[in-house]
Amino acid sequence: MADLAGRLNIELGRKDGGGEVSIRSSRPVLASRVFVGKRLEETAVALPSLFSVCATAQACACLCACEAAVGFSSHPVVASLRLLLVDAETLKEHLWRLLLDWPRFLGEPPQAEGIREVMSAFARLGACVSRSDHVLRLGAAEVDVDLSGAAACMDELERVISQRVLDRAPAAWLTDLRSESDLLEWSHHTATVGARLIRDIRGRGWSSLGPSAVSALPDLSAAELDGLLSGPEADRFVAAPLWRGAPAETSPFTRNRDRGLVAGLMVAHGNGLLPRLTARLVEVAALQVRLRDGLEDLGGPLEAVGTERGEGVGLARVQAARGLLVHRVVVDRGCIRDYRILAPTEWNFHPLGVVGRGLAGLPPADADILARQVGLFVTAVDPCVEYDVKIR
Amino acid sequence: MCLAIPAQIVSIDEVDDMATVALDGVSKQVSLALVENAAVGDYVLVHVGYALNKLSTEEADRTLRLISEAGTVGGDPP
Repeated sequence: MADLAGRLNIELGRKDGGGEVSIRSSRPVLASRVFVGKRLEETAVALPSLFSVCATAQACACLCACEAAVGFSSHPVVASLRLLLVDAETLKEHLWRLLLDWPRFLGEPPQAEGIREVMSAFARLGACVSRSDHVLRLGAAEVDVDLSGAAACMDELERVISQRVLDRAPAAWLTDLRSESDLLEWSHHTATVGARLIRDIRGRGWSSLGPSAVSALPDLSAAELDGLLSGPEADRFVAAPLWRGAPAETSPFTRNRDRGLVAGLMVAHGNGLLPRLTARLVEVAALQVRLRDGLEDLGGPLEAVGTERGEGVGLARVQAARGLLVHRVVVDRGCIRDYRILAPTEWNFHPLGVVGRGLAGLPPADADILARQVGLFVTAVDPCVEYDVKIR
Repeated sequence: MCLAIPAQIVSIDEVDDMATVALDGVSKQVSLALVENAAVGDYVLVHVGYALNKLSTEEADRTLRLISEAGTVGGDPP
């Protein structure tokens, strides 16, 4: 049943003294074709049920693309609330990785109680921000927000983050940790799973593990994306995207690469393991702060989701948990004529992309060491599907 | 693409907080760490070895029909 969602098969070998990596994906990247011929309203309801892993980001991208296609501009507060819900989902996804996956690398069980607290706060936050899901409806024109309820949910999330991840308030963590020596000091005096995993990989000398020359995906214009997601090469593109002939990365790491702490780590470690894991911690803290500010500043000048085109074609760009998510839709007389989705996993797990190149550079080691390194690096990039690793 | 698959809980191991879920005669073990008050017979969304949340039978049917339709029309990418 997992195969319905697709999986990644990652194989490592050695050839002529160097590493050789193949990544094969069975992810159903063309599944959005199921909406061709369906009405807009039906599609807006059904799409997040199908793409249910980052359902909020998918829903927002769908709504914004469909609204753009028919020339509907949502109210700025609706747009702000949608962004807020996407950010909350991203924060939840990061906390899942931190509390479920990271303990595994320390030989510990997942922090189930912490995860349940996150789930509960996230669900209640969604209900407070978008009562009866009103914001996540096509053509949403009204808002009904329980601000004090939402603030209470943020308090709860901040408590979990402070106790289980950062060991202090998120804003304080961002201010306190500006350099690798700050990170080192924090990791040595902190007992959270994030701190201990960072201490562990530094202790093993794995801070620079998996570097590659793959660059961050630049901000693509709507016109460029529109061209890439239409035409006879679009199917091939969404399965294995390249930017001007080269693989690129879009991820929490690339989003935060200009922040002082991450940029400082990159000087010594490039786009290796330590900067990547740290970037996720940075984003947890930054999202918490941004959500709190966003609630206090509803209706203020928040960044738009990024919708473009009109005249029957709609494009939406959303920064989702794992990177940039793009939806392109063509609408004719209220029905979908074409629907393309470009997901971050296809960039990051491209056979020649950041994971493929990063793993190919792993130095020779025993199979169990390699397996651990692969697991850590793949978790750091986070593929959103199950994966198998074979080491030849 | 980012799909989670509805499946029905057929048995629960409360000690390990795991469940056996089944879909079309195929079963697998998933963690119930993310779900509260799960019971045998409940439908859950399954993703990377975890049950994400409970679904009503109607939601599960709707999602499975969509997944089946997507599998029919999606085709293999080149």
